[in-house]
Amino acid sequence: MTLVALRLRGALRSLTARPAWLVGAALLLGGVTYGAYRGVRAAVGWLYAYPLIDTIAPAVTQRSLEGLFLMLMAAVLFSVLVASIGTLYGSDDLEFLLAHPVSTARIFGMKVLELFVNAAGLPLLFTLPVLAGVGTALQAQPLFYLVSTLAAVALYSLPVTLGSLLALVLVRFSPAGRVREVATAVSISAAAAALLGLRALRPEQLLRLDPDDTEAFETFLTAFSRLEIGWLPPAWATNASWAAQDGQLHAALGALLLLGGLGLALTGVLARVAFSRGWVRSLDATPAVRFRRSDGMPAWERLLLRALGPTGAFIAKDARVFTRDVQQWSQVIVLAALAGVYFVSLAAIPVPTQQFRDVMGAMNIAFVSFIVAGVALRMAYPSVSYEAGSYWLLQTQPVRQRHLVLAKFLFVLPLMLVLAVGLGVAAGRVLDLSPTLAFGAPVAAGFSALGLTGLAVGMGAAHPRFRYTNPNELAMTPGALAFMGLALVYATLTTLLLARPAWTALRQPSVTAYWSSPEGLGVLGGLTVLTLLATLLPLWHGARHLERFEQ
Amino acid sequence: MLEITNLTKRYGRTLAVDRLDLNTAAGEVLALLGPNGAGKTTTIRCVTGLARPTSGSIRIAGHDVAAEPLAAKAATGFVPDRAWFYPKVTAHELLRYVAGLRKLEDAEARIGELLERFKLARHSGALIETYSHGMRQRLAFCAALLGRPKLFVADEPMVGLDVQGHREVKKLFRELAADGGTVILTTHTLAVAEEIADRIAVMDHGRLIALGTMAELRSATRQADTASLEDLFLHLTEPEDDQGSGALGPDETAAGTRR
Repeated sequence: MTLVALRLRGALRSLTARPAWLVGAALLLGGVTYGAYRGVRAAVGWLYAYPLIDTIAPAVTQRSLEGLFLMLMAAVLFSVLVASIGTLYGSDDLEFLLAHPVSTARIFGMKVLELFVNAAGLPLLFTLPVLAGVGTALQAQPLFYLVSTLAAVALYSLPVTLGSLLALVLVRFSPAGRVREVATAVSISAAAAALLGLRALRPEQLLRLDPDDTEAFETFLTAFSRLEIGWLPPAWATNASWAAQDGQLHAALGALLLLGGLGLALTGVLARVAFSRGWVRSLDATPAVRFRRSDGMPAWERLLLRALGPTGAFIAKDARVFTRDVQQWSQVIVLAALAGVYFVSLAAIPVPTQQFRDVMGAMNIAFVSFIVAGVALRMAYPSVSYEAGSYWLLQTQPVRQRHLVLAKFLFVLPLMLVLAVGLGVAAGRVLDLSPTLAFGAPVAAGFSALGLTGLAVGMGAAHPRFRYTNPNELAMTPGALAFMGLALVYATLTTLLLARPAWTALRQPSVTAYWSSPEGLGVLGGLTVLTLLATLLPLWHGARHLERFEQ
Repeated sequence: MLEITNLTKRYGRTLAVDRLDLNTAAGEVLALLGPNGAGKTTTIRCVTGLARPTSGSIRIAGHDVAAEPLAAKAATGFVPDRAWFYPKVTAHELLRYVAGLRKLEDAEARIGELLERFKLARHSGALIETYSHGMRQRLAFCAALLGRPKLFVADEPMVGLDVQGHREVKKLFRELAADGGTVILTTHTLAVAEEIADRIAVMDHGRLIALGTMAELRSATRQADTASLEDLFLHLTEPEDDQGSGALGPDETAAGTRR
């Protein structure tokens, strides 16, 4: 408890260090949470009031809940696999903790808890208002809220346990000399595989309906209501919650708690045996001395320095660190897997008419913004904080901090542009969009990449955290939450701006010259202004804050 | 070379440096001493741009640190007490990076020379994550000297260095001063300060309580000619009840020459 209390106290202090931002982030989060609660309550109420399908409404609600649990459990698994090695073996405080007469299992337990908070914190925060919405709409017994919350916590703890076990095994048996690198690479590849594996279930099969069937909606819901995944833990969590609605305790809750308990016990036993040894191995893994050529400056670096001055020096250094640090370059694998899944999913959705295709294309513009925001949170937001303990070096050099901020932006931007524009172009091709949207989708995606990368780097510079125990915690800071809120505002404004061309495309799919019309140029102008504001203001603000930053 | 005027630094309610006045001349080695929490490191941080003064001014080679930070930093080289570098770059790459930030033309020869001098040439192609603490400290010296600074600031520079390293650093400080540079170092190793410093400044509770050569300090504290710096330091910094005659008050600081 002492260890946890110490961490909590530290987290609380860092949270309250900038109260205005904390209040802003809390308000934003509160707004989103409340919106989710009201939305779910209204949706469930509507479903139960729908005249033709009232008999299958409970089953549809249950399946939806199962789907939510399954999706979020997968998201937790993905986060855990990406972050487990860094949190469990790469945290800076481990050296201090392990030097004290505290059982290694306890220290490991604290790290697992940290992993749970980092990976399952947001999914849990999103689940609770959904459960509250369902409970209120169905006028559930108070037991429902207790049991469903307990079930969600137990459910999301399963992937955390699984990821921790995998980390224990990987670090224990990875080749000596490169333990952390190999373990991280394998773990992240497993995350990408899990993502692709889930995609392989092909849930879109459910949507393969006959477009001429007037009862398609009811047919879909009936099919959906029969889709049971009773053998998977998300169904146990749903069944337990559902029974608690009427004040009953279901055996599924016991099964879930038992599985969670067994997983934790097994992790505890293995941690006693393997954690300490694995950690020592990972220390031994301080890589063997690798001599690199140092005869003269490479041409690419000379070019960067000549073209960009100090900004070029920052970019050259970042390029070296990025390509040599497995924690950083492995994110590209995850990115590629995400893009692949998105592309395949888009191609698999049945879109029988041009209007349907264009609706999907218009929605895709908003989706790409959300994906880019999620990727920016991991790759662009922490980029300034990655300077970590070395920040003193550049703070004492005769160089303006704007060079650093600009370099971070320029370094991440190409990757974000490739991802966003790639998804935009792919959507146009796969969905065979009408000319207006076929041009609009990649352009809007490009603008999103520009705006959201600038926003992320700028916000990261305005809220730097050069001292952290592991980089995964950077995505859970008040600044990161504020970035996500502002990214949401940017994505909403972009979607609103593009509503008009999307509507034109839906009504007149054959129009080819929309973007050269005064209205089209006006939309492009608005998008440009909005994106420039989203890019330049945060970058300027971030650089200004860094100039005043004190160690 | 360095002119600190009425420098005050507060962290919230804590007063870390209190109305400090301190000047140094070209060709001088000044040791800044004081017990833990005296304000030495905060002073160094304000001088190097790692912290901003609450009030007062600092000028380096004629450049105001607040108004012309780039010119002031260009004239300064800094070695922290615990140098942390990017683990995934080599020493050679790091020095090239610093040269790029400082816009130094043809830095390769200078880099090679510094790596040789600090006995890192053999390891210059290895990633810094494989370096010992002492090697990192030597690398910090290379990075600080790369731009040929007029003011060299070192916070506890001897920490982590072996005996050879100690000797090399002491020699370096004297060489820098002989070439017309100024060196300011903080240290708890009083013997080093006594050996290489031209003048000694003692801080306590954020204030400068003594400043001068060894002879001037002995005279000002009415100590015997044989009194060591350790004797003087303890005399100056121990509570009044324990020492009889008491430390010098802030207005009595001018034990020796103020430049």
